[in-house]
Amino acid sequence: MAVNWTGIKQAFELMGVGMGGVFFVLFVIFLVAKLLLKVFPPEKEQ
Amino acid sequence: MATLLESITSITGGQIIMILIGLLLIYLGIKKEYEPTLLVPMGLGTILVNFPKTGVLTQVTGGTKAIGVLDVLFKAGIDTELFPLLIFIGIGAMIDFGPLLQKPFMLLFGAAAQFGIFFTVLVAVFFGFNIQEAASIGIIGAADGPTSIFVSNQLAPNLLGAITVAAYSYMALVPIIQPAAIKLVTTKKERRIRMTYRAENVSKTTKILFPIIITVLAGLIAPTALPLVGFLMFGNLLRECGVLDRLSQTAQNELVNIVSILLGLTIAVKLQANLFLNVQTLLIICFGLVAFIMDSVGGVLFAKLLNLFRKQKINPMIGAAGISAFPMSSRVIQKMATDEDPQNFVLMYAVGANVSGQIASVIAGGLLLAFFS
Repeated sequence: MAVNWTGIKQAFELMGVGMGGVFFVLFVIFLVAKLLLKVFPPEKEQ
Repeated sequence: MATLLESITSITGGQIIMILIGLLLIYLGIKKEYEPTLLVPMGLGTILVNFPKTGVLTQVTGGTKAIGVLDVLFKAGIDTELFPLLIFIGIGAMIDFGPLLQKPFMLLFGAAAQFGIFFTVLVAVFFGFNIQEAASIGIIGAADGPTSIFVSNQLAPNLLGAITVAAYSYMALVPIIQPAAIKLVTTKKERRIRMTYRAENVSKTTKILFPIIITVLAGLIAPTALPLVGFLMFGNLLRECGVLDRLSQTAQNELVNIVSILLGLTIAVKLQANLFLNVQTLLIICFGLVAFIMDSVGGVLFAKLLNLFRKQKINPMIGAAGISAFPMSSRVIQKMATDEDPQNFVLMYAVGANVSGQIASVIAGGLLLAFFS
């Protein structure tokens, strides 16, 4: 079986972009969640 | 008489095997209760499409083309991506982001547990699939049926049937797959780590603004993920806004139920013997398992990495809950924790990670599509 090295290279690239991208987006959402909790605390609403 | 016998005599061995597979799916759905909402319609659909000259598929008889009902549904609901997106509205309406917003740190575990997707892409390419097909196989690791259908229909529609069967089957097998995978990479001592939980309230304004801001963010950062994220968040907004309870209930019940029936039956178009019975399908079923195992391993190893720098240790099993299979994965983690130590309650952390996995999986799906756009 001949290994498709171009494909393997692309798969590594996809892994870097994909995992990096997911962590980046989720980290931004984490910051947004933190900000929302700070700006709109439950006590303020009550 | 000859006409009556024609159907029986023209049936192929492959079609008989597919009819048996259809019966197996129905059995698993009813008897084992493995994702019955999808497996039962899919099972019956598989039987329907595997009879020779079946009227449910488009046929040319006597020079006249008769359009099959399942082909009509497929064009309307799957080619257009409509069915998976409608299901996302219902899923969004079912999700409570409360536990995640109480501990936003759990978001990172959702990201880590997507590792299985990208690892499987690598494995699939190694075994001869092209990169688009490999990405579609990898998305089984999203542990999210509609995302798998959405992505594979765009990147490798020829593999849609096998990917859908693998995605839903392994989602149902989470209680078997995850404990084995977690035990492979954790010690008993690690599984016994206790985590104290202090319940914190989240304001209504936060819960309403959260889905809106996530939609805007997805539009700016990952626009290809916007159909998935947008429909998911729309469902959640219906739930949280407080003035659309009837719509929220409809999305959670009637909408999801109707679309699940149609989706399950329609996906069977790709479960015809000539499309399904090949070595590729067997490989996809194997790689789907790899994806689920590596999701769990990725999440656990990320938690263990964080523990190197933290004073207050995280139970690494929480990392494995970062997949999209909700609430099954968080239940599995809690059960494993109490099996090791009856006084160990990690459920709320696991739920937070699990909800995060639902967001992370659609983001991962969008990023896969963006890579090829």
